[in-house]
Amino acid sequence: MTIEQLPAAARIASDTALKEAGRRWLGKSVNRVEDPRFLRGEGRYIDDISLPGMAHAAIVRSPHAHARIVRIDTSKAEALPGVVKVVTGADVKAHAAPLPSFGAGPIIQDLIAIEKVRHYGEAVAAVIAEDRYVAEDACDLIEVEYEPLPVVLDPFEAQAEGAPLVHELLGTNVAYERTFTFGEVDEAFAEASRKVQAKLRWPRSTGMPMDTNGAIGEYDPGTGVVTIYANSMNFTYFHWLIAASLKIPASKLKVIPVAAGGSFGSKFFMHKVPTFAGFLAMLAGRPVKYVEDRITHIVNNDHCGSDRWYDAELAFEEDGTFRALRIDCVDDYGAYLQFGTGTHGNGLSQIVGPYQMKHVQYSLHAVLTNKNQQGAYRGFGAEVSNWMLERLVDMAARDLGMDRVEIRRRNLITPDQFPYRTPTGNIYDSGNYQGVLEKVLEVADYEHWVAERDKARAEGRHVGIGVAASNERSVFSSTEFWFWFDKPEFTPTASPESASLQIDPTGQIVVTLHSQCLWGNSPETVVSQVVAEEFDVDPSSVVVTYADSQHALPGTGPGGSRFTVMVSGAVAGAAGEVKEKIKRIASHKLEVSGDDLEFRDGGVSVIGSPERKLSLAEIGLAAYMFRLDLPADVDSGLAAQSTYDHPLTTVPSDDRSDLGIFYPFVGHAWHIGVVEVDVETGKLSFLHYAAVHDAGTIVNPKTLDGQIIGGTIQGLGTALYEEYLYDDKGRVRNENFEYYHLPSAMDVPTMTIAHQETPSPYTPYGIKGAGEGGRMLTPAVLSAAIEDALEPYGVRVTSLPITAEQIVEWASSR
Amino acid sequence: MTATLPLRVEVNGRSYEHDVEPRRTLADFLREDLGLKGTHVSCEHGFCGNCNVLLDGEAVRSCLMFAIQAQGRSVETVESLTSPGGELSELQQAFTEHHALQCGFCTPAMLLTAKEFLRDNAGETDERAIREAISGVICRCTGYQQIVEAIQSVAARP
Amino acid sequence: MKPPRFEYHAPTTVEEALELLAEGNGTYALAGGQSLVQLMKFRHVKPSALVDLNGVSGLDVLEEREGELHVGALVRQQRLLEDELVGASWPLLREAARFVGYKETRRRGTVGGSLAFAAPWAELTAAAVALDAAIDARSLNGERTIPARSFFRGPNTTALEPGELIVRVRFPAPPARSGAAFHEVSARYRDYCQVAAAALVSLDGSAELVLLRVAETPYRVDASSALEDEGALEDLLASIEPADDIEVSALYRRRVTPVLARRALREAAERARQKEKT
Repeated sequence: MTIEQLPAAARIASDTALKEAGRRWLGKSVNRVEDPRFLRGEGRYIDDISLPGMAHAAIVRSPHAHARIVRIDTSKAEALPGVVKVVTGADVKAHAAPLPSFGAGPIIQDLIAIEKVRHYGEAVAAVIAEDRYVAEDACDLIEVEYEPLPVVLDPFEAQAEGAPLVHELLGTNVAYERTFTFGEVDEAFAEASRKVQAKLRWPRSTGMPMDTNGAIGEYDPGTGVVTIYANSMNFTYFHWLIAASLKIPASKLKVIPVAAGGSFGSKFFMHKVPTFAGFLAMLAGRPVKYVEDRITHIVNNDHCGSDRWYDAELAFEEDGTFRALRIDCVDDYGAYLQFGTGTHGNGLSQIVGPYQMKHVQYSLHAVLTNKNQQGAYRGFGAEVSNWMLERLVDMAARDLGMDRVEIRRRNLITPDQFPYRTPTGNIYDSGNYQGVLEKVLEVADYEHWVAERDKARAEGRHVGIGVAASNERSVFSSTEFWFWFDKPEFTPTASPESASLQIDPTGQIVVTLHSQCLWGNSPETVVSQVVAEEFDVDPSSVVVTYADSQHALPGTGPGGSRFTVMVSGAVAGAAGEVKEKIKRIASHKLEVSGDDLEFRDGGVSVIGSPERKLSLAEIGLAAYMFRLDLPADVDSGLAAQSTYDHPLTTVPSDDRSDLGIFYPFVGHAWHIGVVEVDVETGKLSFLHYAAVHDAGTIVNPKTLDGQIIGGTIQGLGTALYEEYLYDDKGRVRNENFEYYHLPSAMDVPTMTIAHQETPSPYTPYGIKGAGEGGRMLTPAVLSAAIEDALEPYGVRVTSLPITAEQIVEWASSR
Repeated sequence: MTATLPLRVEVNGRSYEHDVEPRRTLADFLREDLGLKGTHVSCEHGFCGNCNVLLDGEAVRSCLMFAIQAQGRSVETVESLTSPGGELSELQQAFTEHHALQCGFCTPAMLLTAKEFLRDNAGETDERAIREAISGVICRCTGYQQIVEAIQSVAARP
Repeated sequence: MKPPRFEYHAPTTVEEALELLAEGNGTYALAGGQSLVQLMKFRHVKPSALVDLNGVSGLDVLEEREGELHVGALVRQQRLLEDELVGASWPLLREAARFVGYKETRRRGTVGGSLAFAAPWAELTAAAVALDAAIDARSLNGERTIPARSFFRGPNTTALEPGELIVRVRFPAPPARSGAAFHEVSARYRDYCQVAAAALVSLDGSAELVLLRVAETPYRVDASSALEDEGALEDLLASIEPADDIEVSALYRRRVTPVLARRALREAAERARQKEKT
């Protein structure tokens, strides 16, 4: 599809007149409808749930990063009173199939390691016992004999001839290697007058929610149904793949969604833990709960973030105009490849950032090593490429002696250029980047801080300002998982979301959602506000429920900042259908045309004569009870369901010169941070931090701020504290919170936040996703701020985290 | 080895008598034996503070105490904050007004820790003092700012 | 992460506690539990029995006696921050206690436990050495006093014999006309210190400096010569032997130690001067 063929507005089954008349509920900072139960401690997280007869599982983790399992003696464990069953890879081999993966095989992951372990912490056995204490006692009694194998940890060494193989069947540790060229990159570099080049390093960290991954499995031999309660973020999208791993028909798998205490990606397609719980329940003959403890979560969660080594160049002109990017990236995926190289697809959706550039070359080397695999972490790879890009931009500014804000301003895509086609084929739907920039300069009191920084510098203090911009793509398309291959085996193009909306005989509205989507975002509040907007009812009167997989319509769940947009579309769609029916009933009863009716104050009334009305309760009762009062062709009931597909996605071209449209709803943000560095100790203090985000139409400003701040602080953790540390045997040295540091309330700045709204022409109400944005910026801002603060030392920040030790080293080397 | 010991403890104003294994943590006792699921375990090694409860009015890590150590003591969990009629407390109300919770997992610990702070530092609205008070409870969702604002709003009331 | 089984004892007297501890291998004393219970969760330590000292009477007295501060072993770390006497007359204790974990952990963690566990990052060990504290330890054989300055033998290693319990720590009055300061660096706010400096400076010309994480035990330096000439610090610190660890390198410690030492000494001196004025 070309830009010219894009629809002027997406198909939205909602009342356009409502959008134009002004928002009543959307855009309001209503208190979250989810809050009361969480405030009371009644969140019903996975570990809060008990089933009658439920047993508890714990795993034995491998102390080796790479080893053959020679022998497992479970006899002492089995003899311990309170132990129900001990399970090893032999049981997995006999009764289960490998876990699902979007990566091209054979990169096979099993529930429990069967012949060898491929990373430190991988499960080698599991104990099911009456309680978790006994299960752990029994784990201590399991004796495993290992034959340690050579460990491969460095992704460069892993690529070399003769390196130990993580997967013998694959025959190589290079899971994927390819170069994509968009535009005329070599020519652009040859013609451009200048270029900068940098080697940049972004190490592995992880989302680390406070609630780990957990599930409860239950098997009913009478019906053959396996029920799994899980705090995974998705299930309708892939529950049939879990069924395949369990070797049962998908129709006999019932996944019940459970509230999660955070995810940030780590519960995205969380397949291993739910499958594991189901598997154990089938073997044990009773319900089994498995919840990761913190160490297991850190070393075995299948959800590390990107672990990248960039060699990147930016070509530009004397006047600061950017011309081209050439990027070579080695990404250390760990021992498995569940999402393929989707995290690079993510980056490619906005690889040029908010800047006008036509030529990009992207070489990717996805390498396997003996580490816990990558999964999703807020940004899903785009936060990394954004950091890389902003580093190059700062280098270009320095190279030209140009102001860092000015060089960016000169290259920003302008409002008249939207929808903007980026070199990869993905589009940016709308934007006003200049507006966000002007706003952040004002909100940050930029000129004041520049003066403060200069004054401090003259006094010998090390104050620095960092400025960074980022686009924030939202609503992914599944094509980003497979457009890497010319002939992929499996080419999903669906990433829908569904909602059912029912008005009961008393006029109360119940919405059913079809993903597990409750992890700290605010799906129920979003849904309530959309319903309120559609029907003009109090949001707190709306009841939100969740379907299990046997009752679920298609859904993809939260991820890629898609949920608010997609669930709004689904709810608006279902609401639209119900409203149509209500209008038909009301126009029949009130004897007016449907066009003369409006939804107001919890009912339907005649426009201009509000006393002529019917409440939703009256209509509901009629719809359910008084069939003969309805128009002849209207059935009983008052409910509808709607599946909202991705409104704007296209397939890639066969030759992959055009990756299609795969992430088109793109927000934009700028952050400005001011830090002071104590060069003698390397410690930082924050003097100011401002952020302006444009995520299209805002549903709830208060919750949007929460996402922005939360994401920004996670980005701060990435920039300053968080990194998996391995010893030379591949053991994770910081496998608990003693040495894996999460920012506390005293480690972070207070942010000043403002918003801009540039709606999307394609989404419900013009909403764009905003959940990931904060994290896309902080690493770039802090890198720049610290460089600026250490300007007398000529520092270049090229790797994260920026530790106190590194700062002291820089300051000592002058 | 003695299997269990008798424990008598007051929780949320109510007296309980249970036989507990010595190694049963206070957190697990509250959650499993008393069914009070509002106290959460997250790291189980004393670093994240999500398990904080009030022991004789003082916030402590319930994952680092054995239940038997609460013999004859009084414990308050998040469940004690709502009125007998089920209404949210002023502090809980402030949390929802200011969007001081997202996933809610650290929220019980934050509420109890904040309750202690507000009681012992009446009227203290200084941001740094409030941040210091909650520095031992990790929140991964909010970035803390809206939690601080919620606590400040209660502290500021006459 | 559940701890392994153990036999539990809750003695009410010191004698009872000592008898239980004398039973030997595998019997551990439980005080605040902030370190021990953590180790038990990791199953790095598997006591066969725990002797819970929290119910033993008489171990939590905090008072001045004949110019000495008597701190019972079970005095909670938080009390050092809140007690007016400590703040007024033994300010180094308060300064050090500020850095010990978080309020929630200080409500349980004890002074005796901190010294007996002797973590390399335990701020109170530095304060005890700087203040020349006397550690009274009791066993079934009787009571003896071990000077803090010879109490610490290595990481988590002290002069305590098996079956011996700290019952109190006595801090002599600090030098006349003195001020105190404590500086440290840690990864985040209140993480384990990576380097720490405790300073006690008297306007009479003496300066006591104790450093953490630069040797196997708290490292004591007579920094009096540095009061007149800060340059002397470099020589005074020449023999430190910091190590690499998971967080920072020995080199970082070498660079930062003189910085913290200088800052602590300056601040302690300034406080001494301020006190003189009032």
